[in-house]
Amino acid sequence: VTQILFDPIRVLKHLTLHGARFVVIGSFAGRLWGSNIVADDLDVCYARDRKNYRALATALREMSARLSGRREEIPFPVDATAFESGDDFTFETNSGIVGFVSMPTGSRGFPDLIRGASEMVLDSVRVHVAALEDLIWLKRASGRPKDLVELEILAALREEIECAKRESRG
Amino acid sequence: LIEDEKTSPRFETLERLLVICGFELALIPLAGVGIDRTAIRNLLRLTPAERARIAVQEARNLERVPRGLIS
Repeated sequence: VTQILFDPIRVLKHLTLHGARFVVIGSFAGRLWGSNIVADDLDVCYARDRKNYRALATALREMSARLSGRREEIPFPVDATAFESGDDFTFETNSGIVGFVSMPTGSRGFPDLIRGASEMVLDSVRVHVAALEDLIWLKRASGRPKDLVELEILAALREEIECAKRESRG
Repeated sequence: LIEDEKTSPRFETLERLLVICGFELALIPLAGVGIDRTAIRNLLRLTPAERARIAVQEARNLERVPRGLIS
């Protein structure tokens, strides 16, 4: 059994290489802002249009993606039609687990989140990362116990960032 | 005027606006109070790329923990 190493940067490279439009959300986005919550998967909110579905599917196929939790005997081709048929998908790729969400609870999806997103450079990849304020909002809206724990960390992080800004202003 | 940030609404005005939007004001504890900031402060000194590398390393370390020890 080959061990799959979590490599979100590789996933992001594949997605951007094919021109996929998405915003990084979830725990990994929090980590990029400075949260210390362990993130063992990558979550993205994707734009809902046919061109983007094709880009996402091409990138996923390159990473040998398969739908998480699916029984082997049930076929699930990773293509644009798959993205048209649903909203949220979790794929197991050769670089770890990747969640694709079109409409995270508490938002109206990609157009909502891209507005406040920040562009971050991770090695050679430029990606849009949801605003810290939006991540906090999404965690609050989700309301799951694990999200509420993370909400506390993100709120502390926000305060630290604001504090640092005030100090730099003198 | 409120949207243009030319005036700050009184409590009653804010409450009325929120009700129109289907919300209400409620007192809840401020999130983030009591959280140890040491790790966060250390991470804030790094670039996003450096934070990503640490996040990956931590996730991989977690994968080595035998199943059953963590939920």
